[in-house]
Amino acid sequence: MIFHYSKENLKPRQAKLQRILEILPGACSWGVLLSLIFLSIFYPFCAAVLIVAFYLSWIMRVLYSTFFLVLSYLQLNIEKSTDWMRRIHGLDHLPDYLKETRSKKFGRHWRQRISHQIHLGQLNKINESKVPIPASGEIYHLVIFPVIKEGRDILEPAIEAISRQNFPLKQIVIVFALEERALPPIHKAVNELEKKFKDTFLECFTVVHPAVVPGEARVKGANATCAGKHAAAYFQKLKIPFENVIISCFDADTVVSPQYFACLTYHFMVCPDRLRASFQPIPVYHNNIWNVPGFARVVETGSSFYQLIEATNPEKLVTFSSHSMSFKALVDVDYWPVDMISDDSAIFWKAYIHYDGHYQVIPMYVTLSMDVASAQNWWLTVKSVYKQKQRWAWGVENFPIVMRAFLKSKKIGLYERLRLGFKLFEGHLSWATSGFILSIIGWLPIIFARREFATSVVYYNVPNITNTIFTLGFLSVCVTIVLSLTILPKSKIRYRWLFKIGHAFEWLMVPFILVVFSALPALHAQTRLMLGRYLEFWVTDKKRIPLT
Amino acid sequence: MLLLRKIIFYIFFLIYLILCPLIVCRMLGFVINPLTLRIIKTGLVYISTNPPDASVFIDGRQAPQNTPTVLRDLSPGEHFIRVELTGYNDWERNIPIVAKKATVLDNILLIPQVWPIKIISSQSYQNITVARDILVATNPVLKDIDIYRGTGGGFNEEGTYEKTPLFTKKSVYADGNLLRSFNAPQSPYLLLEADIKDKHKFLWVNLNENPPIIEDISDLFVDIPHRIAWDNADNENIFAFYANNIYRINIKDKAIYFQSPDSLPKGLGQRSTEIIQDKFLINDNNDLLIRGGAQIKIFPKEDFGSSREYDIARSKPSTNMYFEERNGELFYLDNDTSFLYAAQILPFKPILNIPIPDALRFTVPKKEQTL
Repeated sequence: MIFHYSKENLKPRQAKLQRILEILPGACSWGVLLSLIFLSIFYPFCAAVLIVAFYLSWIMRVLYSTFFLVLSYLQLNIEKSTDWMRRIHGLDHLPDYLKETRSKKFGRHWRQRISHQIHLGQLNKINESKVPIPASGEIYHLVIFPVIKEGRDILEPAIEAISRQNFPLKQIVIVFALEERALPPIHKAVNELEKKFKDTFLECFTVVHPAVVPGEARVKGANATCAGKHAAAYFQKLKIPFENVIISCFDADTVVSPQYFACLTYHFMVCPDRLRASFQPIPVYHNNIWNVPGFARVVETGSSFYQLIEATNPEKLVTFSSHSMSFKALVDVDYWPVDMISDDSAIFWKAYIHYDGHYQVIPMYVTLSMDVASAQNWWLTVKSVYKQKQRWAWGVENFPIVMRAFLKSKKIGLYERLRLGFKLFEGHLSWATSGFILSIIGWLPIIFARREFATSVVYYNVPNITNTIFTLGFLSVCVTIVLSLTILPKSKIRYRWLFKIGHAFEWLMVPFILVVFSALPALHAQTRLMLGRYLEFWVTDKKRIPLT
Repeated sequence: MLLLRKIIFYIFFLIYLILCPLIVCRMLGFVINPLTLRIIKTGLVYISTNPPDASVFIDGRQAPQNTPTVLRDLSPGEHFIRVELTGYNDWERNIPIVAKKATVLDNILLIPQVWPIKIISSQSYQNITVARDILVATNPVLKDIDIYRGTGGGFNEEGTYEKTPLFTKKSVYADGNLLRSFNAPQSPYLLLEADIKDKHKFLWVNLNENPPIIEDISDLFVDIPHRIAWDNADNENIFAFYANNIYRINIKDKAIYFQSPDSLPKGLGQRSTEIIQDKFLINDNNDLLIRGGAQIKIFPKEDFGSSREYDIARSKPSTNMYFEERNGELFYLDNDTSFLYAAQILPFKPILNIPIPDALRFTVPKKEQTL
């Protein structure tokens, strides 16, 4: 479907619809919160019933998510030791490899056996699809690093991580998408890195994005788009078909695991609809995890776990943060939106709408590590993390545009439109309200209880029921603590076990974090969208402290 | 994974659909009677005791938790509740349970079977007053008034007591006769009204000091008040209540001020209480009715006045109100609105709000009006 994926330059009727849809999420979130407060004060019986029903749905959701978090975590562990390069080479000779894989019993360990079963399933699927697989030697990776204020200390580890890949480096092209308005030291650092790594990869070059381009906002997507267009010209020059190129747009601090590109190539090869797919790794925030305040550690570990849970549901998976996709699809959809902040999720929706729903996100059980937002001191870090979460929550800007597209689309099935539309809306609504209801509003009927309510059985039963629910919720937190302790990198400091014990206790801050770094920034973002006070792109502070 | 996710989702969704209405009904007090398989509305009782951790028996069956505890799923009607704690007398009562309502038995004071008695004096006294942690034992003659100060644990079992006479034998007040003594709860001051050599004296005693400082403030009283009171948080002012006036006496400045009854300090808070206490000790159980701020509260005598407060009516804090009790119902007149309000003394009954018919209008005694 040809659709103008933007809030700008709309016809009056569409502009009006866009505005109404922009108001909707914020209005609903405020409506839910204010209605519950009103009911708590004036109709506490009604509020108590609604709150208990909500608590119950919340605990079911928590337990359900915890179950899949554990499964997803196990799968991440299972695939940790997979030799992706071996599989890629096998795919180059699929019929023989398939026979060999079917006949061979792989590994004694249960992990190897499960991994083997998953792999066999993928081979069967690609074989049955009869879709030709491109040769691994003809697949190229384009990696774009948008840069505006990240210095060499941030960028160099990211490039070095790519240079340590077990995938052939001469099939990787690195592009620094440098903003013209970046300060001279940043320009200098990028030039130095370009020189240093020029011979390491097939190519490493810099594309400077002009400071002012008509029709563009000062957003990362505009910078990446400019770099993407230059890269397209480069591949055309080399006569490399776009169908064989996989684009990865990484945040400047993204440090990929050594198997990342091999794993990505494998998933690209085994995916029958590879030209209409994005590939989502599991983002972890380990680069500076032990150098940030405890609350930030918990917030970002929670974000990683959220992605792990989402990875188990490809039907509803939306791209997030650093990810990869078919370069052909990127060119077809005319690159990233140049006037939106949430380019990571917007590119999925843009492609989904462009291909009339025939677009998917493939989860990959491989990690890439980024920085936790961090600043000079504790208070600035609070502000930095808050702003980052607000920027993430600004993904709500996609809702009105996607809804307009869904209303217009005739090729995407009604059920699909309803399902994804509801997921998008409900996701943002619960993001902005759950934390408040759980931590604050849920107690209001008891706090504001007047005589009639205070002498009712409900007054005495509500705390009893909520205590039971929260105890179950605590079990889930315990599972999360155990997983977080195993997933976190080893710190290079003395007494690291003390730090780990400390980290376990940091999870007690969850009620505070739910409000301050989840619900509040989400509500803030939705309110801004509702009032038409659009967010400006803000680059997250990243600080690295040498470990002692 | 996708299939598993769908299966698990529908299982959880189904569990939610079943559990949610059940839990909400349970929360509202609805339970299924296992014998009749019919849904019944239930009530509950909240019980807490002083001291806590007492066993609770309801209709002869022990509750799973000791106090403080909530007994749920009780069918409407009377239930016999017994509270047991080793070393204390059992507390037992028939408690009416109302469907969907909570009956609160808060802070039941359990009486020890044996009181830990320690004799601190074998001397006989006419009266004993407690001023903070000091006992003032009085006799008709001032020189026979003794004060007991607790040391090393106060009046606990382990403590010792230092007895000193309030007035030395050489004191000019020693042979005076005590007429009345006044004090305020938690106040370290004492006011003695005495007849000393045919003169009417008022002696202000500061028990904070050891020996106490005694000051003659007789000149500050224009007449003999029927009552003297003060706020324990205010060390300077006392209030003398006369038939038609209230005077504020500043002890420090030795000054007397006319005091409007409506602007009595909140902390003093005794005016309404006293009126009610004097005239309306309601019902056969001697439950105490108190007007505090904008509320009228009943303090059932059985709980020693510290718990089970039932707000039975509300009024503006500054309005004068007059009370009368008839057949278990409390009537009171709000003279701002000339409405007669009636409130049932029994808990949980709503207040009636009806215009006062002329036939029911009762005359307010003049004395009360002045106050």
